[in-house]
Amino acid sequence: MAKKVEVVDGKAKVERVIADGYQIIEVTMPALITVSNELGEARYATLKGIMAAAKKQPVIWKPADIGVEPGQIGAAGRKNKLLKLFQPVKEGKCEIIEADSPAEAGTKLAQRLRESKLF
Amino acid sequence: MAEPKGVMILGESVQGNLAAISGELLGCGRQLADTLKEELICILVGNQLGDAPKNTIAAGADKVYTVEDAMLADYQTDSYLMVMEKVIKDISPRILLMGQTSIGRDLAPRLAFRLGVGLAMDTVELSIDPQAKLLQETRPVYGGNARAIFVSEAFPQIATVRSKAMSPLAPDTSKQGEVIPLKVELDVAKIRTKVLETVKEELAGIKLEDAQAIICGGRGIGSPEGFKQLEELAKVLKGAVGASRPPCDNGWVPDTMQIGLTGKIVAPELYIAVGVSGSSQHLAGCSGSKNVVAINKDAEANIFKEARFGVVGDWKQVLPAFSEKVKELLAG
Repeated sequence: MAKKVEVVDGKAKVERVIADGYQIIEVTMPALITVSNELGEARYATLKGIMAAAKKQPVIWKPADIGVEPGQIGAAGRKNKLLKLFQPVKEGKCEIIEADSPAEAGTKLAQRLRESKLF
Repeated sequence: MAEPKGVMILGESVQGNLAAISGELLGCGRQLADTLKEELICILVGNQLGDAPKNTIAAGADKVYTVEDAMLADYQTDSYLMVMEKVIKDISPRILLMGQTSIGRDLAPRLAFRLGVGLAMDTVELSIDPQAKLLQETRPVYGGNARAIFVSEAFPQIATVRSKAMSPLAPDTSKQGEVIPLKVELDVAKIRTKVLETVKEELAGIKLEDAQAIICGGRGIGSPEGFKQLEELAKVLKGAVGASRPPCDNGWVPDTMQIGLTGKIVAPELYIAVGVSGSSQHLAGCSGSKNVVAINKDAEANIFKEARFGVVGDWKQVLPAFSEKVKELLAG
């Protein structure tokens, strides 16, 4: 997951996000790089761009065009079988602290948490 | 390949200390191995592993394989893939578990493809179907709104496991186990990446993942200044401050503070959500918390479904009084 990508001397220099910081990695190209929103803002399409896009014809490949058998992809190529799909049941028993004013509710909440030994 | 046998986990360690996720994997792997009546195996890859193999046995492993090489000091996709492909082919485990970490996320799909087997990522529950002796892998789908159970019939069955989803065992230093060093020839020409530098960006104070109390601010906080109040409360409770996605996207706080599906996953004793609506993506990062407390002006907010205690009101009025009382109670 990259937050910055630069091309230097025919190689990509990538800042890869790790748990407690980032690594600067040099990788030969072509390279596959996944990115997140940290990389930058999406641009608005310009009118010129929209006009140009309307004229472009997308290239559509069939499995055979990229050298894969139909049995390797889609449902037939799936290695994992779905056994069950379900929605976990939530218990949902929230104790709402009622009081005459928001500030009083805050005070009561602190008392309640203390009684429950939460701090 | 030999008959698939045993539950293997890929351990991660830093200077001989086992990563928290690896302890959790060993705890979960121990149960699976006991159900199957097979061994729990750990593979450690790196350079200068130090006490990590010993710690791994204390954390539940029966057998530890180590692969040490100066070239393996940093995680790199190509080198670790070479090692893991060779090790899996030689040892032929029934199950392989990795953490849903930056390493697991990167390595697991490649390894599964190389081996031509299935993979379930970000699992939160694992069990063995006693009849077929197959691993059943539960993972959240549809942004955490539903769960799906998968099974793969090719070996090894590979899963990555979400952090804090499993419990580690208490370390048992008297536990006996075998440490077996392995040698894997690395083909340098096939390693296409090079780590130039590792930069640590530590946040001041207690790490979010380690904090026992977390004050989390959401869109309702409204400004970077609002977060200062949360920080003061966090100091009093000896906890840390986190955020849902909007405060990070708006630049009120750094992205490293984000809790949720695309951020950090936490499971503290006390989680106080302030001005957080409680989207399923956010809850995916905090639903393991023991006690959720919600302060939100919208009584219908989803966060109240997750909370044990709640106050419906404007946090700007609730929080100062709350913080004041907390301070007073702690002082008394």
